[in-house]
Amino acid sequence: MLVKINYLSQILDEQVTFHAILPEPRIMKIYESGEPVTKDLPVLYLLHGYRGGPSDWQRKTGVEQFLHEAMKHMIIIIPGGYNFWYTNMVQGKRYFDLIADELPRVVQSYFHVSQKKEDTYVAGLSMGGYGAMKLALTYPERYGYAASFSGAVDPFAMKELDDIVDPKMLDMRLAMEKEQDWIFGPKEGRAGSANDTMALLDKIDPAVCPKLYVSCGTQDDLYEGNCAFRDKALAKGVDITFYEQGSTGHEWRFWNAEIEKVIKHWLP
Amino acid sequence: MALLEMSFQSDVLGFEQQLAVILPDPRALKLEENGAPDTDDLTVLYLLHGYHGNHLDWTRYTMLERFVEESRKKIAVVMPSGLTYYYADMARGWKYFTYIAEEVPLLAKSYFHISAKPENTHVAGLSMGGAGSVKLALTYPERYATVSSFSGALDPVGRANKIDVIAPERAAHYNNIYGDDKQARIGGAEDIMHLLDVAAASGKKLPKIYQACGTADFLWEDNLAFRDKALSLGYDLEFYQEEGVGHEWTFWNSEVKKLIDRLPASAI
Repeated sequence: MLVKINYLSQILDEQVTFHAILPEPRIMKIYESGEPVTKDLPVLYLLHGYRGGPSDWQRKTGVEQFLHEAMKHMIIIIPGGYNFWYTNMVQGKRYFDLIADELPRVVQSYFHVSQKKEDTYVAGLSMGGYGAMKLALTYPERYGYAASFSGAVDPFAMKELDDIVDPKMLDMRLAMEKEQDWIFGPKEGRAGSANDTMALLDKIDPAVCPKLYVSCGTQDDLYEGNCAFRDKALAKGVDITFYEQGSTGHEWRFWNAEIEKVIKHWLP
Repeated sequence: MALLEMSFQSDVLGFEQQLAVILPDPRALKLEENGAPDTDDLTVLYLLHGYHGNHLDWTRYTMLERFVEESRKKIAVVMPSGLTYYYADMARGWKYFTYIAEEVPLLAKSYFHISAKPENTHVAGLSMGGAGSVKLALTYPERYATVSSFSGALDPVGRANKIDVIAPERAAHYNNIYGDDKQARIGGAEDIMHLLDVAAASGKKLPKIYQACGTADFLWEDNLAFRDKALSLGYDLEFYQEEGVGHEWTFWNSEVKKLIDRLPASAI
């Protein structure tokens, strides 16, 4: 079941659109007793990447079909994060609080959703992988599982501009740099801040840290950052599953396979 | 308010269906102020569209969502789609009555926080939807507190039996809905005028009926006949007429506002 939701956000003070994927009525066994099935379901918050939106996962992967095939009683919530890095902007709106605080309250108010840590999951790709790790490491008491696919998990260690050859990539990167000034503030203050997932990882107590799944293609520009994140997590004793795939760049084919794997096999 | 559009596979109909749902928005539920979700069960209004319409009609052609917001009431509005099938279990076709009577409420109560109590359950509709609403309330008087019909087609069998004259191009369609035997339609499950007798004789507590129609409506005579019979049987019926008004959205827009305003529901 696909649900599209529009509401006026309190935190952003603007209209927000998100998508929800719910188990089909038959999978929920709604018809068997003729009584409503109101059991609280586990929930996966699934975050899109840079330049994406709430319909990305739906349009570019088989996420709904994977949930269906997994026969799991689980709700998938796909918010829109625009280009704002799931971050409370230095100059602007609170996109981190939106996803961390308001969205779960809305989802728990509207649907039958568990509020337990072990039933709460977050995952995302690229910028959304960064968002997923930041949520998990900022509020480890809220999430049982967190997954990042090709995530910008070492966000402030990006390629130097001089190293970018492709002029289109360079344009995009320059636009991103400008946005990042509004979002994260001046470059020098970013490392070690609440937005630095590497620094958050440094501070995490491995005993309460959510189970992590991190994957990346070896041809991805973010591959090195992912390795650095993995190494730090392992050194801390965090429960992390790392998967790397050869001949794979920053691409939907990979994310499609990864979300299938995570829904069917990695999440409980 | 929040607007939700759901797509899912209906078990009763056997194919994909859409539902539109209006829920109180986070501001109305004070989620930010309370710092917690609001999981209280909501009063529910099942709202049915007319011939040629679908689940989006009410939101597209009226100010319904704003009326709900301004009423400051904690209600959910659930809008199914019945296309042109008169919310009937068709002689040749699909079980649209079972769909709106059984499946839609079961799904609404399973997926959302919606009251299962009859005193918190209301149904209303315009034209063909007025017929569907009254049919629901007279078939299952124990399930609904109130029913409202705006310009309702309240003698559908009477009209169907004249369709060869009124709209011969629809004759085949109506035969699929009501069956070929015109005599057998009278006194059957689709015969609303007859259902008035059945419900009155059932000894069950009868829902309050609100009935509105314009004097220039082509269904005006049918509405008068329904009103007179219902009153003679002792129904609690409020009748509202508007001079010179035909079969039109301006009227339904003002009627749905009045409905929302008089609906008994807890204030926000």
